[in-house]
Amino acid sequence: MIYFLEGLIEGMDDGHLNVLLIEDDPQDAQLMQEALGETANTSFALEWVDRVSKGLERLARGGIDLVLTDLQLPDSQGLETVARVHAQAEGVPIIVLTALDDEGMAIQALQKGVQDYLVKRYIKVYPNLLVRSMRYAIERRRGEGELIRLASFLEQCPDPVLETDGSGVITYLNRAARTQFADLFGSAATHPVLWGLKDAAQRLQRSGATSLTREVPYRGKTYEQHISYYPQSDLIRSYLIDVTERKQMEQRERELAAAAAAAERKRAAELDEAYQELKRTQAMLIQAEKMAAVGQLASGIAHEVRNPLGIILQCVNYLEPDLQSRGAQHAEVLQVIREAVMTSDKIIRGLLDFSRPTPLELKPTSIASVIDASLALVQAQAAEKGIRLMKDVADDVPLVLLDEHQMQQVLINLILNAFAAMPTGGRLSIRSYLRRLTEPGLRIGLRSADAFRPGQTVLVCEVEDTGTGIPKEILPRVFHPFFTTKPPGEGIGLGLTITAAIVEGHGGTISLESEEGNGTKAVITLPVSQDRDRNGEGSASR
Amino acid sequence: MAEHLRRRTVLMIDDEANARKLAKLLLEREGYRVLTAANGEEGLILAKVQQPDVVLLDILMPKTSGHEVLRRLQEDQDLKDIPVIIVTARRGEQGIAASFRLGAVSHIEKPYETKDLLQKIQVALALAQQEESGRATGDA
Repeated sequence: MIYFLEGLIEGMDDGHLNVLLIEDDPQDAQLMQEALGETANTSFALEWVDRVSKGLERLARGGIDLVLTDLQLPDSQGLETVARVHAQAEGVPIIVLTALDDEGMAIQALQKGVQDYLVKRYIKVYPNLLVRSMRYAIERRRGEGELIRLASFLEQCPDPVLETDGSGVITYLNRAARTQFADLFGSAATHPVLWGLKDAAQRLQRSGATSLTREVPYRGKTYEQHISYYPQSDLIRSYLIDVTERKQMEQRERELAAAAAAAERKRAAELDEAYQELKRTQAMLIQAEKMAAVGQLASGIAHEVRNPLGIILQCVNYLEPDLQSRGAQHAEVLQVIREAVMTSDKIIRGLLDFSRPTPLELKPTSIASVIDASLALVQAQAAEKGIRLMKDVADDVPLVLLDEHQMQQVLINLILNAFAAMPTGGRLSIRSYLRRLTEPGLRIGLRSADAFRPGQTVLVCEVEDTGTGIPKEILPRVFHPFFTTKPPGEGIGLGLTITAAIVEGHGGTISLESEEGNGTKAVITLPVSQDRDRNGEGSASR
Repeated sequence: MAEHLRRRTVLMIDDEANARKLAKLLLEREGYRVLTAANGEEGLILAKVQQPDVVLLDILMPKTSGHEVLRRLQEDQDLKDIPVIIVTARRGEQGIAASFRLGAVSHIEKPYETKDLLQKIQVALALAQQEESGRATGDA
């Protein structure tokens, strides 16, 4: 504002200000002309008329910046003069020239919007008085105009502006606020834009911050409300911006970003799945390669080892007749050699059988009968070790396609492993039941490498012991060829490998669940025939 | 009829020296005359010259394999009726089947008990004798 006025004065210094003098007394007119002429730095162009009517005519043509007028004129007296001039040229500052005894009237004129009044006699004494008064008149007039302009600026602002006093009573609303928040009147402090204003003001006062911003939802739109508090006048002023569109855009951007992130996560998951699959395939390949190596090794070893074994056995045979006659101890020693040869040969044969698996002879077989036959074979050993044998086969278990002898070998392998884990006795349970696979799991899924599909009904056979359990770190390796926990000479680590090969040959799976100190459970899953599978809906039970 | 009274001759063809040595000791103790050959070529010559009553033939040998020896024995009119017992460290149905297809009469896996081998030799000899007398009857 100050700056603006300075500019205004400067403009006045440079420009030509056209002054209209309405004065019927030529002497007074002369006086004015002289007063203006004495002012060197300001160029006024003075036009003189002696009647109001003439003045009004001149004003109608425009270009007049200021009017100097006497009140008492032949064609107009007193305040009427002011009113007529004012009516003709609204916005043009008027300075009234009076005689000394006219001062009361002049003051009334001021109230009518006249900028100033000057007593003619004083001008005679202080000519500068006129110029100064004229300058101020113009400044004031323009200043007032500027204030109105600025007020209208706020009024016409397209964004709502509102002001309340410290207690929340509205003291000002601009046009946008009045139209956009038409319900503000009478809604008291519960209106969204008024709600909490007092608290906001208090917060601002406490924190010393100049303004704060909050988001206000209003009739499906979102406004950003910038709140300032003026403690001296106890006024709270708010400036609101409709940010609905921006918020919607931000929301869309967030949604797009979230979708992109989800897609990214999905891609990462797929990549990870592919990687895991690759790792599984790799592991399977390594396993297959190991098996092939076992096979090659086995046939190589077989010849090299079985030949000397044969020679040893023949040495025993040769010495037998002579040594037997020399006493029981000699015979016993020979028997030890013979047994050692046989044990070695058994291992070699196991290797060979494993590397050249005998084809399965699949026949519809009752798993219960295989379990019974296996248990019968280990009964004596169980009694000796103090192991109780339990069997539980569900009634609805159907006949399945099995190679009876090989499956018996599977069960006996598992049972003997269980026995080994229970050196001080315990309990061995064999259970068999149908189960409906509900969710993907170990080799249960839709990949071609998976043995089973979710929804399929399978035959489960469990061999569970109460033994020492398998340490977590070796559990993943127990099916690997040559992996053994037995001391050297007591096993070569093919038992579970052969077991798994047989089960997989049946199209089934085998897994071990074990916790150190809490026993082990071997779970064999075997396919049941398709017919059975279809009719077997809901028959899964234990 | 002095045929069954004479000492029977066993030809053992095996590349393993100790195996040959032990077989010789054991079979001679049982009253057999034992010839041994360390490879197929040597065995075929010995068979041709000595006309053994039974051949014990190893399969896995360097150069001429047992199967090759078996094939050539079968091709030779003088030797084709000599019963051959395959003695092998190999295992597996396919090897055995091949041996029988090529004309072997019996099969034993190393390591074996001598009594089992003796039993197989006796059976082979008995069968060969039966066939021979059958042919003799037919000729008459």
